[in-house]
Amino acid sequence: MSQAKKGAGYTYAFAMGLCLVCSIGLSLAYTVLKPMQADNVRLDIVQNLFSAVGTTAEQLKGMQPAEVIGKFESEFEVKVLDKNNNEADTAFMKKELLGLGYTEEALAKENAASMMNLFNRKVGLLAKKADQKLEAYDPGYKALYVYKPGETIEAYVVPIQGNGLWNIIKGYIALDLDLNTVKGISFYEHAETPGLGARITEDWFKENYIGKHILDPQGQLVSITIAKGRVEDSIPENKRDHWVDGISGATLTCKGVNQFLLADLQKYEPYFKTLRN
Amino acid sequence: MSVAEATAAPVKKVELFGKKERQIVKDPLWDNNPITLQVLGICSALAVTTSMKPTVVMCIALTAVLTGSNVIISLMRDFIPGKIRIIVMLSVISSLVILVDQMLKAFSYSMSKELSVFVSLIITNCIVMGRAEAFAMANKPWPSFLDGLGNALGYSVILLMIGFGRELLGSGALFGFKLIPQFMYDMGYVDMGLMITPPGAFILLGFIIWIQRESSKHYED
Repeated sequence: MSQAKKGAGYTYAFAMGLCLVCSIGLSLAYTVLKPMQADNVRLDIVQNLFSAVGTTAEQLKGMQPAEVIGKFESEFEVKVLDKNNNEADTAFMKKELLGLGYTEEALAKENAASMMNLFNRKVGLLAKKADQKLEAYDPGYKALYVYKPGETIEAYVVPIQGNGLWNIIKGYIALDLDLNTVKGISFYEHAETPGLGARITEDWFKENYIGKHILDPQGQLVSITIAKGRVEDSIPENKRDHWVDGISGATLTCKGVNQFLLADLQKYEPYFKTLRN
Repeated sequence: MSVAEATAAPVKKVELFGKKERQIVKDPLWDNNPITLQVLGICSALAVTTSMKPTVVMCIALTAVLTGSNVIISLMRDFIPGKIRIIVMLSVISSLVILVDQMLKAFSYSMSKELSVFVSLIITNCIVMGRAEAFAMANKPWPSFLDGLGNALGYSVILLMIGFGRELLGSGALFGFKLIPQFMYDMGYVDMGLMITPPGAFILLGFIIWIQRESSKHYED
């Protein structure tokens, strides 16, 4: 082969050149496609919020993406709460994010909750900029979606997220007005093993949760736990209200879901206590 | 395709669809099928075939990557240093796969969620690497394009057969449309749950391999 005579220098140069071409090409494609992908993600999140409150994908099927977003905006109220469960103002977040170099247009599409997510992601960076410790700086914002399709509130939706087996799982759990009965649950972002952990997104599994209660009869938060195997086989009858059937082969995913569901509900519990009264 | 044609044109008189070219496309469809005969690319053949829709998208994705990589590798074949050729192929293939994955995320988000990791796993699909090493490194772009197309279609044929069998037997539907009427279920017909699981795909694939080898008279010693 003729390349054999060209020596090591040629090989290095070729490798470098190839890497350069590939990376430039991919960055270009990524930059061009990013806005569309972001729109898809936004729509997907909204669809999952609807699915958590019991509006199925079929019911939304005929609608244009913009209509779905519009329906979301009219039927959901997004509340952002701070550490002391007071409503937080998003103006502060916006100001800080603009300070980090975000543009007005980039933030225009964000609602209160997604703005808060962005802010929470960047809070370490902001603390560093303000020369403060993370704990001192973190305002502990959390979002709550109030589902109000008509005149009255029908459900409260709590965002849940935490570690699964491979990566972070994100989802929503919707609670009825008593803030005790589960109306629905959905997961929209995960990287669990297809066929095993990824089965948490299957309907039969999510339907398990519907109608279960997160509080025990004494009113203490116990959350809902995924059993190993079927609930009937392993859980005493008086506790079945807080357990759902498990997925075989997905022990670690289920463990993760159990942990972050409890942890996230605990964060909201003080606020829910005030709402229940 | 225009790239391939342009580079193929100056070399004396090349027949675009001569007997040899047709053979390149036809061979891998059945007699020299990459899945059933060479038993490559099994992983995705089992993973994405529970129903027809993801199967079709996977076939399209693989066809794009395989023809693309074959043409690109073939265009570069005289310049690729022999010592690093495998990693060069891998870079080209993975770039193409990432591109396809990003396109899916932008234009068909629900499908990209359903296929999840299996699009990225095209990188490790032995068919792509195998054709680049065995064919594109030694042939001109146009035949390489045809070889990529032929092998991708050969892969697709088998995948569609498995997907057809699995969705029909496992869910009583095709492309999501119920085919088995309700009264059959009322009379006691039950979908075959086995077909949804990986063993169902293995069983179907085994039958297809049997039929293919029998009809092509291919016997291993």
